[in-house]
Amino acid sequence: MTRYFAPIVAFAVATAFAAHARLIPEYLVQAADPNLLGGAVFHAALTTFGYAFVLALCAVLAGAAVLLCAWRTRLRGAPDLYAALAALLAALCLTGQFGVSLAPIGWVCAALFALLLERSGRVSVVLALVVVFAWSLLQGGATLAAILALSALAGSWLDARKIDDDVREKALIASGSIVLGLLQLHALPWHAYGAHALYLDALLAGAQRDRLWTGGITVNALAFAAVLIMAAWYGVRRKDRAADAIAFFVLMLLAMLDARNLPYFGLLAAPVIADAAASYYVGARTMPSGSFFGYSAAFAACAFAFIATIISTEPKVPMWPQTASEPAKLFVSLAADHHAHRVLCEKPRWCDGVAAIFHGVQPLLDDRAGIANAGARRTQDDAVATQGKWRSELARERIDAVIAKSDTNIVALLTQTGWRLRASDGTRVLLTPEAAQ
Amino acid sequence: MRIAIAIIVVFCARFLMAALSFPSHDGDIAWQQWLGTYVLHQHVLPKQLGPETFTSSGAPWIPQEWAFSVAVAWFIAHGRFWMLAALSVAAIALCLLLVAYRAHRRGASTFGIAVAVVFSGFALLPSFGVRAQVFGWLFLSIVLLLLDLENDWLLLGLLAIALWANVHASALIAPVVIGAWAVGTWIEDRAWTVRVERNFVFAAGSAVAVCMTPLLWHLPLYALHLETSTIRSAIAEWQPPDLFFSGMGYGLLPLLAICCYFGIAAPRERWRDGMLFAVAAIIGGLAVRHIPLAALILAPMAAQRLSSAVPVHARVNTVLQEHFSEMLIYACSAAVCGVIILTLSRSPQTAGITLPKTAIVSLADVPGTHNLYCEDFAWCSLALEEPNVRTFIDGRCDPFPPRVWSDYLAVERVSPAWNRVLKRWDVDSVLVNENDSLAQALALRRDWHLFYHDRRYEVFLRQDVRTAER
Repeated sequence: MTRYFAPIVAFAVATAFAAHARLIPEYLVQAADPNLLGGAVFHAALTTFGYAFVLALCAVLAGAAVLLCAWRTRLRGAPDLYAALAALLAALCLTGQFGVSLAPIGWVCAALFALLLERSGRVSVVLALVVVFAWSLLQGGATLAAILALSALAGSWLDARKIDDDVREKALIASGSIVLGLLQLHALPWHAYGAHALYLDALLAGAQRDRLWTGGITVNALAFAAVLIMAAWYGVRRKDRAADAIAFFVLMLLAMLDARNLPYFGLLAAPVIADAAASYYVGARTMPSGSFFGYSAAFAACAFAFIATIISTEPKVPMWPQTASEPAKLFVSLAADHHAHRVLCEKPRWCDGVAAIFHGVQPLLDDRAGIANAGARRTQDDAVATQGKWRSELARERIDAVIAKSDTNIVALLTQTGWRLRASDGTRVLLTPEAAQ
Repeated sequence: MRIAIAIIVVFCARFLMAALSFPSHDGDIAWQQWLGTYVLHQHVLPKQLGPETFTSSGAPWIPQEWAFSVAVAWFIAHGRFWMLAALSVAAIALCLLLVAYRAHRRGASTFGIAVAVVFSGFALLPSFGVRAQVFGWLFLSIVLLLLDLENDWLLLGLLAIALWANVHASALIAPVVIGAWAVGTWIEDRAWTVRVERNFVFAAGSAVAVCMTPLLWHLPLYALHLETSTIRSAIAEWQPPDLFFSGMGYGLLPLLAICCYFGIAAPRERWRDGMLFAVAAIIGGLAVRHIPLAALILAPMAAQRLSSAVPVHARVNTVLQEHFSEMLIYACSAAVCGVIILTLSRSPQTAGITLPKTAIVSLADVPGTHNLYCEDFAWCSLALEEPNVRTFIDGRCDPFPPRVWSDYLAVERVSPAWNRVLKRWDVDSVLVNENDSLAQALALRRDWHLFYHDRRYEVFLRQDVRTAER
């Protein structure tokens, strides 16, 4: 009976994902990135099969990531009940990030890569490198793969205190992951792109960061606290595997740096914690019986049924940023005059994908703010804080439209000096210079 | 323990320098002095705001820090503020000593205790000041010690909680902590044993003890209201923590990491610790001001687990206990104290005055009664003692109605309606930081003119100012 618990959690994740049918604007930036094959694949799927297919695919990927997390717990010898516990913890950490983007590809790759890292043998090494290659190509996650592989390498060496076969295998995977990460043909410097893949660039002034704690009881804060409490209860070192502890703390820091890393923390830390819990209460370790291909076939059948159901019930066309959190109405108003505009959004991610939808509108910064040029970031930072020579910086960057919350200082100061309110969506306003009206 | 004391002495040097310069940098002391003076003269707690504010006169007020305010007023009136500063430092030193003692009682090694004290010290450092909450930390430490002792003295904790409630509303955390502990013991014993009953009685008693103030049940209601109040967004101490907040990065986070690494509760013998960890992990993420509370709860657990996880032969205790090592640590501790005192006594951040006292005195010298808006509401506390200056919002902040807060924030954030808000409230003077957005906006207006400026502050007066009556 307990063997069905983890699949039930995974199914619940997929269903909740599909029910939360929104397109994360970040996806439009990823889709336009020539370095990410995932964007092109999703775009092709979107135009060929429709939005519902892409939505269902993302939901299936999220469910698969949760199942892999449970499977990894099982492969460590923990019983099914603890595999379900791992799935539950991982699901909690994913909940805040539901939405169509390339992130689910990263989640499933990370869960699979972590599983393969714990296996030994040449087949696992090759498969791990194949996963990194696909991950790197589709979503650009080689940076995280390299971090996980280096953690595993350090952990293996610390455990063995000598260079044995396991250390050699981990070294091979780590070096392979680093090389694959470097080999990506990015137009940007590799280190900047690597930082962006882990959202570390969100720390730069002018960029936008998702904080883990926002002052209230949020899903993200609760999920993080749940993982932390379980970890403290049973101890990450319980199984005496240094790699577990290193990966746990590295990902914990990444999650605290930007909440968008929380799913990775949940997916990779949950099996470690669930296994530690199992080691207290269960004497005999049992490995799962049954063939991997049998399980895969069952999963594929479920996935197809799920996708078919979603396709028949969900909308067929993508609905670009329609949530209240996105200023779509203001962009429509701005683009209505069919002139070229350069727009500054108070929160850079409000501008995500605007260039893809309205060809005449160019944002100063969007989700890729961290890898934008320093001058643009400084302008953003100064203008939003109305500090320094922010007016001349706006002029230098040829900004002729500003979208900001209606009660912010930049709105008051611009309207005092010749800018006029052009449109409002209730909480935000679009300002343009008087001459441009 | 002796090494821990050497570390505590170093922290105390830092705390002492912060405490002595506190009135020059924090506006809260000004309103607390004002409140304490009122209580000492009237022998009654104010129940509402008076004519010292022009926006909220008559608004109901729960002066939760009344006992501390009386102390502030008494010490300042007798020219002995330094004694209060020294008491604050003594309180925090005692907190750290209790952390060390609780860790020692749990069998932590010298190194484990030292680590726990260092991280606790860093967690307390950013929130430290001559503040009521510092004494709240001490009361929490006492309650935690009594829980650890688990003997008949436990119920003495009710007295500590009642005193705590009179000093600071953070006493409301006591029933939560004790309740979590009681549930932990219940799970451990799997039966209604004597200690389980005692702990639940203590938990229930603590819920009653927090009402043993002149404010009665209004205090818990006020504290609950504050947890969900909209004014939190405007108060620095209520902001959510972040990795880059020093109290989190150098204090609470390492303690959390140690607990997560070693594990503190499983399988069943330490569910009390597990329950307390859960409370600490959740409150630690809610607001910056909860970080010290969480650190005081976690530090002894971290020290205990750190010690029990390291084999005796691998510990550095033997080195630390050698006479030469001890002397070296004491010498280093003394040298660091000297460096801290010398450096901070010359630093402009501690030696200088960063509050706009001169600006407010200059405004008060202008004839008539002024309605003053301060960009930082805490500055306006300095105006409470000026009979001809009335404040928009001052450091008492909590009792001001949401409508007034909303207007305050509209001006502070320079929203498009800022000037209309100032006009509607008949504000005739505005105190701002030089070059801030509000200063820029005021400088662009013809109906405002610069009346006062120094290296840090500016005061703008409305043209053709007609002053009000106080």
